Amino acid sequence: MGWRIKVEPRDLRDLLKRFKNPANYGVIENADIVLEETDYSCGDKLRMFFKLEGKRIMDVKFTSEACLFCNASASLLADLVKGKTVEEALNVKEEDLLRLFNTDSKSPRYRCIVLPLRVLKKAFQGL
Amino acid sequence: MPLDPYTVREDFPILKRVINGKSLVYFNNAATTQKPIQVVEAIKDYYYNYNSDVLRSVNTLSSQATDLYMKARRKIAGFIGAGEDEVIFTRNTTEGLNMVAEALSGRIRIGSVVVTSIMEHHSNLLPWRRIVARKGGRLTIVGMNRDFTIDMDMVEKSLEEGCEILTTLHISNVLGTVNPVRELSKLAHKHGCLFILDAAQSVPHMPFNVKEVDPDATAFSGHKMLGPTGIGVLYVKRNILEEVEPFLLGGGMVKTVTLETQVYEDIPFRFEAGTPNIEGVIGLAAAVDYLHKIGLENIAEHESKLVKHLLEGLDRSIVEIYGPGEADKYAGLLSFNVKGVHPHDVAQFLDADGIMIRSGALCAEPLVNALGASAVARVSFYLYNTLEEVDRFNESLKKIRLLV
Repeated sequence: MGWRIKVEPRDLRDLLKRFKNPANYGVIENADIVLEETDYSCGDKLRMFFKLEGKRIMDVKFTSEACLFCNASASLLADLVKGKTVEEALNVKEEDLLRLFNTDSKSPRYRCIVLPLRVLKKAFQGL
Repeated sequence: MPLDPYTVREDFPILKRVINGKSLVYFNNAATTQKPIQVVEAIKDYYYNYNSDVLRSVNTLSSQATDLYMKARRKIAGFIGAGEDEVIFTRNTTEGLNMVAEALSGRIRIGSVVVTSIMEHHSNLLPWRRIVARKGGRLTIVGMNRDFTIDMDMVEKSLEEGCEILTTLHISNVLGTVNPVRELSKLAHKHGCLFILDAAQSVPHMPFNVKEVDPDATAFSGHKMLGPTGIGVLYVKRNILEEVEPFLLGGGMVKTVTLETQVYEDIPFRFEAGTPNIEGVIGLAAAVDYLHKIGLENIAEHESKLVKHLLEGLDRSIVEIYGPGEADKYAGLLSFNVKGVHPHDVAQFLDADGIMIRSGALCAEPLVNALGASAVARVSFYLYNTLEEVDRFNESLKKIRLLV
């Protein structure tokens, strides 16, 4: 996947620099699926846009009112699933995202990091 | 004598902890407070020496436990100037407010109005919304003045139009502003309306007496005032308690049961079915003793000193402060945002310096949204916080400038 980020508190600065204007942020005008979810425990609000050709994911973008971790995770997830099939995307696990942040489900930012994956799974449900 | 936080801190072992290499600064007291040795010891003493059922058995241990329990109840009731039969033990403020809403639902009919405010914690909004929806009533939500307290003109107008229940919070858990509760209760009663008060953020931090404030019911939590979690208090005026149905039926709340019928216990016991949270009540009474020893006026004064110091140190060029912005308008808490940085990221940044704060919608999403935010960062003080800690906070926050 090419991303190696280690998110210790002291690296927050690097993370912010890197994801201040995250890749894949924005709108897909003619998206096939648009889905918005809010995590009510932390307040992160995330909207994801998916462009498909058959079962292949051609493009993914997102807009948000969310923290750095949620934005970074959405940005990375978009890169990860672009060009893959819906089925392959549905096989991405929470652990795959958490690993990118060098953390696990005990992290205080767990919910922020996995929100994009929850949106994706809901978007592709039944496809 | 003014409060000396350094003496107070000796009673709180957790404050000696080192987190992320720094000594712990605990600024999340509006969520829950730390517990002094005296509270933990009281609970330990109960379990080591007196543990039993209460108000039931005829044996020495049970009567000693009952004695401790009843003394604790008197102490806790006395803390807010209530009669001991007007205090019902709950789990927390949320449970108390839900119980009041359900208990008073009999007063809500088709077209009845309940008035509340945009400032409310979800726990004083959702129960009322459900009741009015179920009974065909209406919920009126009044706004705020420019000073970020409840809009009294709008309250009065709503009450004039006819209203059964006025319910609001005392101190906002987001803004830290203090609502004029005496005026609110007078106004409500003038219009023949009940006044329900969410006192979760006030009872722990300032002198509070139900005889002065005169709410018909009020709720607060033990864990926000040095007590254990899982114990809260619901005060309800005697005449109302006498007329409402008990919430839970079963053991401990009946005088006699036959196969055909039953006679309920007197108040307050008819509202406390089942074995109560004895350790919680005893722990909370120890917390009340502790707060009495320090003095609620002293605590309020100390917290306002901390808020003033905080406001002086905040760099307004990068920080947006919510609420009136003048130190004397805040109780011991304040919410803010660092421009361009999400509050969760601010919280994590401070966490790296050992400083614990709360971020998010603070269980008051409509209010946070009305402030033009989706989430905020909040600092909330208590008696053990120091000016030095506020300096550490301000220094740490200055480093965020590098992120913006």
